[in-house]
Amino acid sequence: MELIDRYLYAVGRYIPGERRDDILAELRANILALAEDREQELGRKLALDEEEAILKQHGHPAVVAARYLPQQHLIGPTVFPFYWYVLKTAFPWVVLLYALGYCVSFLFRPVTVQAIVEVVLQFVPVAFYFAAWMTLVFALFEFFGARYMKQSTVFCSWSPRKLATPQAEPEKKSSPIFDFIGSLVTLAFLIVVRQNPIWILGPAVYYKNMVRPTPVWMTVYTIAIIFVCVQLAIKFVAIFSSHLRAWRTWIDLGTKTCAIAIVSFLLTAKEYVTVPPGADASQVGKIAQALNYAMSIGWKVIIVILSVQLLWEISKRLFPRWHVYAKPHLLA
Amino acid sequence: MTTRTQPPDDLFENLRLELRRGCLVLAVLAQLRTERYGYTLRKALAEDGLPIDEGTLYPLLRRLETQGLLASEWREEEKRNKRFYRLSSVGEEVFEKLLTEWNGINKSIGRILQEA
Repeated sequence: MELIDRYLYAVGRYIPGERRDDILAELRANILALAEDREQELGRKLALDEEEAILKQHGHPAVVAARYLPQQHLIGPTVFPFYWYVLKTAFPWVVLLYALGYCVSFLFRPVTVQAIVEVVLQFVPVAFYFAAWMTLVFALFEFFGARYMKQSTVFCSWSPRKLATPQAEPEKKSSPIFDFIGSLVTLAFLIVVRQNPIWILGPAVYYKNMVRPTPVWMTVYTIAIIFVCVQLAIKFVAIFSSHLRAWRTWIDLGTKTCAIAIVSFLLTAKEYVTVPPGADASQVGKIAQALNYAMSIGWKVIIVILSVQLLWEISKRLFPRWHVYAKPHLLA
Repeated sequence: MTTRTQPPDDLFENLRLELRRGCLVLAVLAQLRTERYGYTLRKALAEDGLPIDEGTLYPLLRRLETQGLLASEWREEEKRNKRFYRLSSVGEEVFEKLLTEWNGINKSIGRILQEA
């Protein structure tokens, strides 16, 4: 039976040397006994196909060998919940530190779309290395914990008395009436501020040597007025329509999308403030240049934050399970 | 409330395997009160209505032997060397305790089912 030799040779390649011969000899004896039984049943020697069927029934050599090896895992079921908790808790901090680091670096170098894309793409290996290091640390903990710390008091010394008191989660739903009033106040502010720019610019409006907003703000102002009016109409209807309230999430998503569109429009402008006629061009010009530069960075950062928020919200609606699994108490 | 959903067939299969895993150890220990080698043990289990594939049984025998529940020796039978297993003294002791546990669970399940 040449096939069995080939099969056992293949199995043996996956088994450590010290136990290999013993395991293979036993496997051989069992396979041959099965083959002999079949031959007795059939009253003849087995055909090649039948021999092959017996070996296939035993399973792939790598799988068969794996079953003889001690169970292998990097992080076992006892440590895994701690690993997962630390990974979930630390990851947002990694994102935040990474974002902060690059925001600071953008203060000293030009901000371009290409630079932002590069920053986002460079986060992939950062996230990968973070996960890899965390896995390594917990795998080491698992390894040494399993072998040398079985009697450790780490998991035995806890007491239910020391656990945190459950906190009621704050109710996030807001009243449709307050929503409406909020939008109404915003609209009133926008209308009043047109006549009284001091509300935004402060006493600077009275100084001659001070920058002035460029016409792009007038366009944004008009868009904002329309935007708030539409919001106001929807929120007014929502007070009386529970059906529309059910659509609140999607309306919020629409609002965020519009906000992104407005900021995107602002990004297309090169200048946000300019030197007014009669002002000291050399002095005010420098201030205007610095402010334009700072605002262009600011819009880019805001658009990234808004986009991430929007994608997160959309993912919550489209794939609720991802988010529910992250909060096991919701499954109870 | 959102819950994890799993096809009922998959769920049943997972639970069935989980249930069987513990029972198989008990069945193997019970069979090995009489000395047997791997293939005849598998046949005996199958004849008693508990078929088990080779890939599970043979490594299980090794594991039980490593745990000290089984003793084994190579011996020639029908002109071929075979590894024969039987319960060790520790295995006998553990088997008795497991059997008591098994009977207790069986009775409890029976009572619960009668109550239902």
